[in-house]
Amino acid sequence: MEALGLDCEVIDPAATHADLTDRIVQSATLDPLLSSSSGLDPTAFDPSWQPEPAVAERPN
Amino acid sequence: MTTIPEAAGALRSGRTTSRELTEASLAAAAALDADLSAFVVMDPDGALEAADRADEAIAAGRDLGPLMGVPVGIKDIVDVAGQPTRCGSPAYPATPAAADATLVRRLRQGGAVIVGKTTTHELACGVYSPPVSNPWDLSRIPGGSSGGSGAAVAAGIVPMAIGSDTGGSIRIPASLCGTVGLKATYGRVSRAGVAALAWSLDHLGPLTATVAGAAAALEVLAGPDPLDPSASSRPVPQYSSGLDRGVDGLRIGVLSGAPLEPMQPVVAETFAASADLLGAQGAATVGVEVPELEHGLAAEFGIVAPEAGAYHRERVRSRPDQIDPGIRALLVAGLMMEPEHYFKALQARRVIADALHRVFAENRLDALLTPTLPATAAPKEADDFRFGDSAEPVTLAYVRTTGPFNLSGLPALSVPAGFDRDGLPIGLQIAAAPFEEETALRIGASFESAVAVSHRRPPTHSAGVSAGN
Repeated sequence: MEALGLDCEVIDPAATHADLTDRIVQSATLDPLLSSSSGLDPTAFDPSWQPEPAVAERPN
Repeated sequence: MTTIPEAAGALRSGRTTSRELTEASLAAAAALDADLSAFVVMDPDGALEAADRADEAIAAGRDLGPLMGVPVGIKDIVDVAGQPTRCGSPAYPATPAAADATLVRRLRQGGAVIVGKTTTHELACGVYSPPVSNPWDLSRIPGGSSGGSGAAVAAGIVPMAIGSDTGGSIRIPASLCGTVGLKATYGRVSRAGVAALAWSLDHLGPLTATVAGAAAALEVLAGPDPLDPSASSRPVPQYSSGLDRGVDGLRIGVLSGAPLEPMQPVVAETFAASADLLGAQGAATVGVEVPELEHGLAAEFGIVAPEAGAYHRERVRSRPDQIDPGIRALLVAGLMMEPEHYFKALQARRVIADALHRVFAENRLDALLTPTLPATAAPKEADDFRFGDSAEPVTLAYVRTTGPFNLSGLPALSVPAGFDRDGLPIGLQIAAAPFEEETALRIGASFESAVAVSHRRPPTHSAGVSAGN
């Protein structure tokens, strides 16, 4: 926390640890989902199922 | 307050003026907002000036679009020039925004009248939106994080208010307050000039009284924006034009299994009846399951925590005492998470998006139905829901049915579908393929016309308020 500049009195290390542990436990639950997707490039997310048309938009 | 189509008709026929509508909106806020706390600030002078400009345009025969002369509210994470953007947090300065967000500029160009800014859950990170009350039962939450927008529309103070949606924050208050809420496709509405929660999940959109109002609002809000690289350059359809086409011939998936269970029995009953109603209207309904959605919450929060932590990093360092302890713990944990957990969540998101794509393709679906939420509005003091013998945090229960459509970026519309025995609203969620908002709106309009619940008004409503009050 010190390295991140978060070592201040208000930020409770115990609460942070508890939340962080919860995040890591949650992350581990994703392992079964990802077992068949080894090598999947997570940055390739694209919400579009169709190519973007090159049609100009109405001005606004 | 009337609906957007009713207001548009009345304004153009001369039966009312924008000034009259705006004065009624301001009067309703003055009469009701002590109970609701839906607005953090009103702008009566600016609103009346804008109303007079709209009336001048109407008198001159100019038509600026479907929101011309219509009073609207703006969630207080969106920049409105001359007013501070406080994000429900004392950690944000009271300095006025220098410029309008792109969507505010679009609303002004379309002649809309901004009456005030609506209350948000702190940092748009929560579903309670204190101190906002639900107009159907003032002891209940309105949902969040766009809780002020939901309460303002449900109470008839404005016919449209802007919300944002990272894990359900438009659709959750829409469902709990009995309004329509539309989260369009990722990139359909510009986010320039809007405070972020999680960049890759954030969406903007309208909460309205009717589906036709949502269609009209999206016509104004959608479009490209050089200030937001994620904004799509796809043409913006006339969403209002196909609303009356019905659902005959459409194939609609009816989701079961994860992530819907557990849910309140009355929600399950209403959901089944809603699917049957659409079937009776001519749609082919198909039961489907998407087991991958069981992992939606882990993926959602695995992305929200590090992205929100990064966005608020300096605020966490410099003003940690001004951030709610629960939100602060999330932000700090997000800053401390190893990158592998973030990338794992992104990979899971891709698997979930692909699974939704697959169920649409394999079943040749036009849309997918879910209950918007597994439960109605929680009491303000409740931390958990009881589902039989198990307990579930209120926040997680609400986000598990809405979050998958943030992860996938698919458009999702919440429409009122019924009420529980306490008179609390229940919502139906209609998701469609990317950029197929027209399909979701068409189904929503057909459903709305048959289910006949949108005429019901909450006990706290502007119908009893006159402009002279």
